[in-house]
Amino acid sequence: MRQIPGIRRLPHVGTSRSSIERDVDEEMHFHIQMRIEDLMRQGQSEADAKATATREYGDISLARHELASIDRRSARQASWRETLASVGQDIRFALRGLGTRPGFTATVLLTIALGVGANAAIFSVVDSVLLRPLPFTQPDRLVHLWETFHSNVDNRSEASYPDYLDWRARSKTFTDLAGYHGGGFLFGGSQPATVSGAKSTANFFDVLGVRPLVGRTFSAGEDAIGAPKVVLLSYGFWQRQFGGDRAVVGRAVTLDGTAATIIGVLPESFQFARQGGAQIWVPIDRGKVQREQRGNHWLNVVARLKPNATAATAAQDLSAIMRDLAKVYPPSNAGRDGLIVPLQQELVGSVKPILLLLYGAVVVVLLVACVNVANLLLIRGADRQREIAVRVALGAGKARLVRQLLTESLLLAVFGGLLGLGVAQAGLRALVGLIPAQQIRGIPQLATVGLDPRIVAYALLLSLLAGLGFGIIPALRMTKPALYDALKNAGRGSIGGASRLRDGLVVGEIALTVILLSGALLFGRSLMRLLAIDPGFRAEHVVTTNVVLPRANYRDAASQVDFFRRFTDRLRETPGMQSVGLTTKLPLDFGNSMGFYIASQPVPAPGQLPNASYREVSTDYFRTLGIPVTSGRTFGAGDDATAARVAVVNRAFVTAYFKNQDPIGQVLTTGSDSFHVVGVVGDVTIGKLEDKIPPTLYLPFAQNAEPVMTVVVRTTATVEQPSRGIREVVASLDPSAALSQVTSMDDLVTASASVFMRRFPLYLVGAFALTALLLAIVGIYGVVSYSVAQRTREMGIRLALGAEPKSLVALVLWHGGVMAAAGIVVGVGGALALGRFAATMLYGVRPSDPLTYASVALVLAVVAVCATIVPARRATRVDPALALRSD
Amino acid sequence: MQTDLLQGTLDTLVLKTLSWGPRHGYAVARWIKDTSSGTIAVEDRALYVSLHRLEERGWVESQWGLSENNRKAKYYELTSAGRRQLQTKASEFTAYALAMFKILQTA
Repeated sequence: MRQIPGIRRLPHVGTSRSSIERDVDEEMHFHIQMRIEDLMRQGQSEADAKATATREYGDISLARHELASIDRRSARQASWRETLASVGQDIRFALRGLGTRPGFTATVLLTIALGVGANAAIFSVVDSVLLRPLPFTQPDRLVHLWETFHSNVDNRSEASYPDYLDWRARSKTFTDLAGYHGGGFLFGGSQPATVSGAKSTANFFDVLGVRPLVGRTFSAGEDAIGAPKVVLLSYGFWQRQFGGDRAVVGRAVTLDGTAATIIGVLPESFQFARQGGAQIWVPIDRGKVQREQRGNHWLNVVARLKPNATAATAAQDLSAIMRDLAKVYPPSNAGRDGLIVPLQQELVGSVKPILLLLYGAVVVVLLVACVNVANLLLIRGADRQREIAVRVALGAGKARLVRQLLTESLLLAVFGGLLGLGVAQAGLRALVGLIPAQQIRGIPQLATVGLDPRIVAYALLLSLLAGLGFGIIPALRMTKPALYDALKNAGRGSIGGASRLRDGLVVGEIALTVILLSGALLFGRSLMRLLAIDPGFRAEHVVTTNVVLPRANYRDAASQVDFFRRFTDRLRETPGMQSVGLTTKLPLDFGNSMGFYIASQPVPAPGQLPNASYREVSTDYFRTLGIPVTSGRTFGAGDDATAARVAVVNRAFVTAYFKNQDPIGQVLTTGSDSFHVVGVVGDVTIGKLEDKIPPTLYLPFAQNAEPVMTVVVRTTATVEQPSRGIREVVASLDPSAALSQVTSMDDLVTASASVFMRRFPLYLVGAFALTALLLAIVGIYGVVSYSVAQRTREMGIRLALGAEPKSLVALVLWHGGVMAAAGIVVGVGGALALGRFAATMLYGVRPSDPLTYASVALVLAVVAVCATIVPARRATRVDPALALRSD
Repeated sequence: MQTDLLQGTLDTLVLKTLSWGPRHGYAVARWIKDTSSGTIAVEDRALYVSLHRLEERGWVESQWGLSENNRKAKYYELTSAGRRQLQTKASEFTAYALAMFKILQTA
């Protein structure tokens, strides 16, 4: 406030609590005194005057209270306004400062946007897959149940239906148990389409606690043999197929050639990763035989724990029941035990390590970004030493200066973070695009991953943290009193402490980059090793698809065999088809296994039965996939339902069970059936590429028909032409049969979990590592250039004294080289320490692989030299005369 | 309603009093009483509440100074926002008084 003219100024009106009350009292006192004096001047006695003045004033204690509270309020408002004004001033000042250095500002913004964006993208995946609860009621009370053999967790299997019924009847730790399994359907009447789905016991959705969006879920008894068929639609299928029509409930549809009724629609949020692709759900519909065989394991079981039970007590409960069953039913249950896995772990356990690894990697990228920005700020701060010294000389307090510098960092961070949201959005789209559809089905949460408010809040919070992180050290360093000497020497001398700090940050940056690069390289080498595995078949030029027959029209084996016979014959005659085979499972599918006795060997104890994975194939299956026959023969046209039952085994089977015997002519018995071994073929991958190939049994399709077969075709053409050919042949034979999508074998291998689980982290960690490398280059280049610029004078003197330009280059290179070497050493140490966490995700390469670290060290050394060579050459072009005169 | 009107009226009077230059609270009180020849009888307490409230709203600023008889006194001064407020209120009030006057004349 300006000085009121004619009035001598006294101390300012107080703002503290006590001074406000003092001011109010003083003002009141002054008023009453003046009034008393006036009244006495008019002739009143002092006592009368006092009484009049007090009466005129009114309630004094009320006034005191009122006035003080008004003043306190206005003091508070004033201090707020002042703070806001000074923050506003800081922001305006910072914006102006950033605007005058567009190159610096853009570099910093881009760096933060990359760091925060990558982080937000990965976090949103981690959030939706790992952090969010499963879309069921009290999902942490849900568990998945398995049977194990000889307590071997790797040897776990589904439950048999009788075992499931006994678990339900006898267990004391579950409120209820429910079962499910996957399946494919033919949906529609005249021109049916294959639809993937799942089948469950009637109480499945009650156990999960899922309420339907429309209609109802299954009722008790609907899973009984011969019950009328009912269907639940997934939300997505309901939208696509029925346009979200709520009147769809009650409508009749054709499923596998028989009539079924739609009873409800599942909510949009419902997803069950183990059946992620399921479009429709129906009650289990297996026949009497399969429901009575205790040795036939086909039911996945989930259960809800009782409120007082834990996974541990439930596991004891289950084991006790299994021990009892083993005593009562030794042929089927000897050696079998139960296993309990929390449902969350069962559904997302396989991707958890990868997601955590990727999250770790993006945290490292963000750290590198922060280090880089801190370094740029320090370099810029050195240029601003004079400006800051002047401001201190003019009376700016240290706290105020730190606040000013931090405001600048936080502004950079927030703007960078906003840009980062764009990076995250683009990154997420690319990331989900990288995942084959086959794998997305196993992680259905990925389909809906995106930038929701949670992620935006996370990104902005992270930006602010980063802003504080990279801003605080430069801010404190720049306002350190020692730097005020800068005024005297005009910012020309280099200050040891600051340059050591900058060098240290670059070393840290290089170390973090080494860690990321090593990770990427380890995944790359794993992938190479994996793809170098011989899967035992030739995938190139082979396409495959499923052919599904409506069960209603093909009830007996003879009609199924007949259809597929005619189908293969017709397809073989189509131009471009070299060879056509059928199978129930492709090499990369996990298959069922069976136990058997070998007729020529002593009967083993129960639970010690030889075991083999098995699949039914047609005559030309081996030829089509290029699987070699090593002895005996494969199946011929004569091996049909009327002939003696035969089998072909793989080499692993011979190694396991016929070490000193000739396998050809041996008889295998499963109790009701016996098979004569007629041939031996090469080992072929079953399930995962990297897994040991198990003993495998091939049975002729003509003796073991199924209404769903997978056809494999070796062609001379690309995918499109055979695809059309197969479609035409199926349509000409029976339009009510359906095909799934035709894919090349090569694509299936690429999309398989084994390859995907290495390729995906390789691409992402690789991208992060390259980002970090780029940032590290900027860091090294920036610091070395700056130190060269600072030492212009020193260089000039050296040149004037006759130094060779070459020695100056060496001097600068030495600086970069020392930083790089230190960073590499620290980084390799860090990578070795962290490597063991990645060990389970690698294949065929140890986390301490020396070749990996040697290559990373080499790459970084080369990069460091390249980033140093430009500023080093600049040092030699210094004109000594100019350098010396410039002060 | 009535107290609001009164408070508003008092505020306007106080602003008017300060429009010729800074004064302390006692001077404001005297001027209102003397100019209205005692018609407007108002407790001094209410007057000070008005002054402090006007200050809270930013229409008036205060500062300690020395009075004509050399005592420490709190002086109030109109701000430019206060001057605008006075103009608005004065014209509102004049229009109101004219309207009242017109109605009472026709009766």
